[in-house]
Amino acid sequence: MLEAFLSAGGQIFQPAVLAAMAFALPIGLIVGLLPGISGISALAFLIPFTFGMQPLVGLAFLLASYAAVSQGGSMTAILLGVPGEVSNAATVMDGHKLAKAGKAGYAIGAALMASAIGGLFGCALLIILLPIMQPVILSFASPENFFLSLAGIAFIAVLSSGAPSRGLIAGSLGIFMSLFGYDPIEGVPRFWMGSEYLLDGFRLIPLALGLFAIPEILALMSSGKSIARQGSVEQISFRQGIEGALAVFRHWGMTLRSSALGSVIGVMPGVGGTTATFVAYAAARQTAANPETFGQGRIEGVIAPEAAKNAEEGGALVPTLALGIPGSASMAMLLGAFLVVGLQPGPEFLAKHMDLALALAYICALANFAASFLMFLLSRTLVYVTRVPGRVLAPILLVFVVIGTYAAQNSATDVLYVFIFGVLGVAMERLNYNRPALLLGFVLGETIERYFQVSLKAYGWLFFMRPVSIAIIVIALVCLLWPSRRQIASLWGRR
Amino acid sequence: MPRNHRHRIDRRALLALGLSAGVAVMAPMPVSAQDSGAFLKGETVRIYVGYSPGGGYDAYARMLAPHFEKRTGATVVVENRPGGQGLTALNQLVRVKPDGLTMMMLNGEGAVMSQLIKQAGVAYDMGTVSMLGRALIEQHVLIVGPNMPDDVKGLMGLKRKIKFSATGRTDNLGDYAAVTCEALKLDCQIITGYKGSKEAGLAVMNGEVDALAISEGSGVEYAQGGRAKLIATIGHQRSELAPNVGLLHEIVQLGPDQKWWLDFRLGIKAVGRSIVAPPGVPADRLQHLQRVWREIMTDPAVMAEGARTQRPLKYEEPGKSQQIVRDLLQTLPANKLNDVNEVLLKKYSS
Repeated sequence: MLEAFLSAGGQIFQPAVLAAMAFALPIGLIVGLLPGISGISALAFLIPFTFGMQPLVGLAFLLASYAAVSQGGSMTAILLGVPGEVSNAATVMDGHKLAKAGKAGYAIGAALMASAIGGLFGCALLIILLPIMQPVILSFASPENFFLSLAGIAFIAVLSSGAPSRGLIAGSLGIFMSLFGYDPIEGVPRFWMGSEYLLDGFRLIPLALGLFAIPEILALMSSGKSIARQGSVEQISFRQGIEGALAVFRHWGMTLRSSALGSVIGVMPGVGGTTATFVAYAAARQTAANPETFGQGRIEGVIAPEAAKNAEEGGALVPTLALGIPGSASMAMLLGAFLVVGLQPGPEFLAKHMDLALALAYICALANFAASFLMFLLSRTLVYVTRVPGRVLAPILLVFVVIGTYAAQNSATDVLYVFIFGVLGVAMERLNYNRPALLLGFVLGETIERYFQVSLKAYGWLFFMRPVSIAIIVIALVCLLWPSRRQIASLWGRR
Repeated sequence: MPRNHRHRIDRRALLALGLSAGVAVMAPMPVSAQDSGAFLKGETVRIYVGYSPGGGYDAYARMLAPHFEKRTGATVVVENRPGGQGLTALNQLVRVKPDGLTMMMLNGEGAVMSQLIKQAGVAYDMGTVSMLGRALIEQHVLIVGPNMPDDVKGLMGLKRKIKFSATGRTDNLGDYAAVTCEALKLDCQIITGYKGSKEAGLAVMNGEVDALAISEGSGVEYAQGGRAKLIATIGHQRSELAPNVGLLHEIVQLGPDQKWWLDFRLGIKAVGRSIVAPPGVPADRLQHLQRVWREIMTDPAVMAEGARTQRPLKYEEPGKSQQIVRDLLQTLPANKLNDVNEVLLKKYSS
C-alpha cells in the first residue's frame, strides 16, 4: 500500500502530467467564468483532446480543467449574482450581497480558500476510503437517497425563515415544476401538452439562469449603474483577499462540517452537487449565531456552499473509481473519458491500478489548490467588472447567458425558456419570494419522487428502518431543531 | 444531296455513339462511384445524436465522423439533440429533406420498442426510415445478487417474488427482464426508476433487488468484483466476453410460447445501434451512403480503433435490419401486440 502511495506521488510529478494540468487550468477558468457553461460541458468539449494521451496525462488534463471550472463559477456568483454553474446558486445569496457592499475581494478570498480546503478534504477522504470504499458505497441505497433529499427539502424552511410561507410557496412551485415531463418511475409523460420539448420537463440551466441572471441583468439595464455602489468599492488588495481566506480558518469547524457534508453527499450516487451546496448553507445557518443575518452578506454563507461544492466532487470520485458507478453527472462524463483512454473503473481497476487511483486523488487536490491560487491572481482584475456601468455590462452578460444556455443542449427553446423563467425570477424578486427555495424544490422534487417509489417497492413500508437511513433522519432533525434547542429543552424539563 | 446529308448524319450519330460507348467502357469503376457520391463533396453533413455529448451514442458518432469525411469530402457536424429518451431527434430527422445530407446515430432498439408500445411522443414510422448500416449490437446477460442461487434453475426454484432493477419499462433493462420472466415463467417484480444502468447494477450489488438483465460488458464488469453473479446469456449466441456462461434456452427447456418471447426481443436487438436517414432518400444516394458506411464500419483500421477505445463495431447490412423492423411492425398480430403491451408495461409492475 505504501508503495502505491509513493508510486502515485512519483507519477504526478512527471513533466507531461504537470504540463497537461498547466494547460488545462486556464481553459477551465475561462469556461467557468461563462455563465451556464458547466463543468460537464467543459469535459464534453475537452474529452476528444485526450485521444492518444497516456491515461494519467489525459485524466490529469480533464480533472484539472474541471476543478478550475467550479472556481470560475463562484466568481460570477459573487461578482455578478449569476451562478456560473447551478451548484453555485447557493453562493449568490450572501456572496453577491458582499460584492454589492464593496467587499468582493473579501468574499472571493473566502470562497477560493473554502473551495481549496473543501477540495482537499474531498480528495483526502478519497485517499482514505480508496482501500475500504466498497462497503461504504454499498451501504447507501435508495432509502438513504430519499431521506437525504427529504432533509434537503426540509431546509427550504431554513433558507426562507424571514418569510416562511413565501419560501414554502416557492419551494412547492419548484416541486410542481419538477413534475413536468416523463415521470421517473413508469416513463409516462405528464403535462407535456403535445410539446416535444416538455417531454423531458423543464431544464435546470434555463431555470437557474432565468431566475438569477435575468433579474440581475434587468436591474443593471434599468439603473445603468455599476454592481458595486459608487464610493463603496475598496481598492482590491491582497490584504482583502487574505482577510477573506483567513475567515475560512476563523470558521474552521463550519468549513470542515460543510466539507464532510459535501463529501458524503458526493459518495451517494443519487444526490447531486446542488443539493450538497444548499444543505451545507442551511446547516451553517442553523448552527450559527444570529442566523437571521444570513442572506444579507454573511461570510459563512459563502464559505459553507463553496467548501461543500468542491468536497462533493472528491466524494463523487469514490463510487466512480470503486464501482464504475458515477456519483454525479460530471463523473458520468469522466467515466466516459476513462474508457477513451482505455481504462475501465470498477473493482478490478482498483486491484490493478491502485497507484493510478491515488495519483488521481493527488491531482484532484493539487488542481483545486492551483485553480484557487490562479483565480485569486485573476480576481484583482476581474473585480473591476463590478465597477463597469450597468448599461455596458448588461448586454455583454446577456450575450453570455444566451450562449451558455444554448451551448448546454444546442437548443434554441432553452434560450426562450431563460426569458420565461426570467419573468418569473423578476416577479419573485419584487414580491420577495425565495428563488433558491424554488431551485432546490425543482432539483429535489424529482429525486424524492424517484427514490420514494423505488424504496417502497424494494423494501415495503418499513424502508426507513435501515441503520444508515435512521442516522440521516437523526442528523437532519438535530440540524433543523438546533436553533430551537433551548425551547425544546425547557419544554422537556416542564414535562 | 438529301441522301448524302442523311448519310452524314448517320455517320455523325454512329461516331458519337461509338465514342460515348468507348468512354463508358474505358472509364474505371471508381469514377462512377465518385459520381454517385458527388452530392456529398464539399457539403456539410449532419449526424444527429439523440443524447447529450459524452454518452455512448455521441462517442460512436464522433469516432466515425472523421472517417466519413475522409471518404466523401463532406464536412460532418455531429449534432446532439437530446430529449424524449432519444425520440425527439428521430422525430426531427424524419421531417428533414431526404437529400442524404442528414443522418442519425440511432438507438434502433429503443425506437422500435417505443413505436410498438405506442409511447407518447412517437411521430415516426421505423418501417419507412432509411437504414444505412448497423454499427453495433450488444448481448444481454442475466446477473443476480451475491446472496442469490448460483444458476438459473436455482432462481426458478425460489418460492418468492424475484425483484429486477430497471430504469424504465422499455429501456433495454426493463423489457429484457420482462421477456426473461415470461420465458422462464418466473414470479417477478420489475422495479423501474433507477437513474441509469449503473445505478440499477448497484442495486443488485447492495442487495436492494435480486436480479438484472443488462448488457454483457456491464454484466461481466459487475460480476468480476464478486458482488454479483453472472448466470446466463440472453441471446442466440454466447457472449464473447463470457463464453463459459450458457444461453438461457440451453440451460432451460423452453416451450414454443416461452421461446417466442425471447425470439421477439432478440429480433428487436438485431436493429442495435444503427445509422439511419429520413424516409425517401433517392435510391442512388441511399446506395452510395450504404456503401460508404459499410466501407467505414468494416475497415480493419476503424474496427481496431473502436476496439482500443471500448467502442467495438459489429457491422450488419442495412437490408437485413430493415426487413426485421418491417416484419416486427407489420406482421405482429393484434392479439400478440396486446400481449406485448401487457407483459412489458403492466404484468410485472407490482
